[in-house]
Amino acid sequence: MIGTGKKTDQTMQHVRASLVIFLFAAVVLAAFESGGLLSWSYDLPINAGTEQLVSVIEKWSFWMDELGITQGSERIDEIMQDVKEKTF
Amino acid sequence: MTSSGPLIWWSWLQFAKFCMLFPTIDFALFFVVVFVSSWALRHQASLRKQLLLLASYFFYGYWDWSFCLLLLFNAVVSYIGGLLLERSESESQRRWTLGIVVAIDLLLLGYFKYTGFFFESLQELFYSLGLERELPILEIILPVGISFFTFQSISYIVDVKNRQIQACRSFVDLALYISFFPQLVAGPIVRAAHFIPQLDRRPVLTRRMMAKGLFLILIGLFKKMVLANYLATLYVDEIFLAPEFASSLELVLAIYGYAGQIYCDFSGYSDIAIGVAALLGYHFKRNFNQPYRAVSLREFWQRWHISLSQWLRDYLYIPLGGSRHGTILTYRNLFITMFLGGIWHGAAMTFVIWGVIHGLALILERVSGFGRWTGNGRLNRLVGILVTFHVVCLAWIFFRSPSLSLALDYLAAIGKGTSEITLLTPFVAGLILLCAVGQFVPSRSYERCQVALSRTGLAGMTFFFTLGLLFIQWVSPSGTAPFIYFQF
Repeated sequence: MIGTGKKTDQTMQHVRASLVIFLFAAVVLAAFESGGLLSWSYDLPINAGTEQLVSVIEKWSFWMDELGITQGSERIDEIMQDVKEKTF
Repeated sequence: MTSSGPLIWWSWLQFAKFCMLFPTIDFALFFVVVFVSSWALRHQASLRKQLLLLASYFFYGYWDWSFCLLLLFNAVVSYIGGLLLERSESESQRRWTLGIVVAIDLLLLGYFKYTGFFFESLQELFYSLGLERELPILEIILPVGISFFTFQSISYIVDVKNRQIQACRSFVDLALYISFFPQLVAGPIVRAAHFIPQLDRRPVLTRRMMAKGLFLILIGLFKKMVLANYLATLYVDEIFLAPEFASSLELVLAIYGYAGQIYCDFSGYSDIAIGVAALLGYHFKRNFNQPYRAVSLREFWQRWHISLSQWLRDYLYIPLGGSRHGTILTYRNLFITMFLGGIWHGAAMTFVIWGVIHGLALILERVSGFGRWTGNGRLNRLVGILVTFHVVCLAWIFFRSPSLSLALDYLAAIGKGTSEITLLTPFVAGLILLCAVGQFVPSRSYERCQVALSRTGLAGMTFFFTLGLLFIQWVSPSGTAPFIYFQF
């Protein structure tokens, strides 16, 4: 606090900030790596809830493909493949 | 001695299929739920601890819930033992109590870790004596992390006995200390005196801790998912599968690769564990500190798996007498400590030899004064680093090999002096080089990066964390291999 020499406890502000970071990172990863998300969903145990979830993720993944967001990931895969295959 | 390696590998692979590994969506979802709910209970210390305990058991039980009973049993024994120790006045009674609790801990550890090996060895002995006895085949699955939580229980009970800490009055506190999920399955081994008092303080999350957590999670994921996974899948595993087809040069390079792989794998796990704990408001000490820049083996053990080295020093080497009873007994104690450290890794001759190499090299270092010599001058330091690194690599050959005969074949093949390169690619060479460079960046680089990250503010931290995760996800190989130290 100003003038008292004590620092204000900003823990909960930092908690909220961390949560914003996690959620933002999750959304970006889900967009750019929707294929990985889809693979994960296919490994879930089958029940009514997960079937709905899989269907939502399939739609999301399709949408990301349509928008061309996953192309970056595919391009990097190709670059990595080229780099790995180079020989001495 | 035969190897019970296949059993360990089987158990390890089962774990890989079902467990909650750090670099997975399952863990990310679990962590966000725990993160939000634990901070929501910030002002209700008791409820927060109960929640973290429940979360830790869920984390462990995700693999096989029945092993939660083992964890619970371990906590109950330690709790009762601690209270009995504190209430008892007589020294002999205190010694008995300590002995019983430690014996229970070690018997459990021994049962899960060494029974299969014992029966295999007995069967071999019968065959060699011409007695064809069919012994029962026991498929004992090694509970992941049993060594780590057993070591934590032992350190707690010994510290209570030595009156270094008071017995924990709260069962939840003690159970949480033993099972806290970030370090439960592969360390770092946390001391009760360091962790339990943190549970009683109101948790705080500063911007610096936030940055520390995010940075360590990123660097740990990069080490594990990129460096360790690529080194393993593209090079090390292939060479160790059939060393007879590789040249001497490639065999040497593969062991350099393995040195990098095991460092990145294990220290990566520790980094993530420390980072996750920091985001929950708890401080864990650093577990690795650029070990391959050590100029002596003694220094190596002050930099490699620091929490285990300190545990072995405080609860094995010093109780054996340490360096208090003359030179010969000091050497004996060093040797016993490293020998048992080897056996702790598993019931296999390869681990025994690994421990013997470290034990003998530590003794030789003391006898020759090598450690002191390497402290003087740059050239001496360089020689010290090279010699130490190669002794460690020699021991890694035994550590990595699935059997003693394969390790000996590997060494024999190195001696042939051939130099064709067939499997090594510029990419793999670059990874090995990157691991080496990481050992020689200025010390405290981690801390500097954390400070720099914390100064970028919310926008900066969001940007770097997201970009870092995306980069790791993009460049890492598909699939998530389990961490090497889960098998111990």
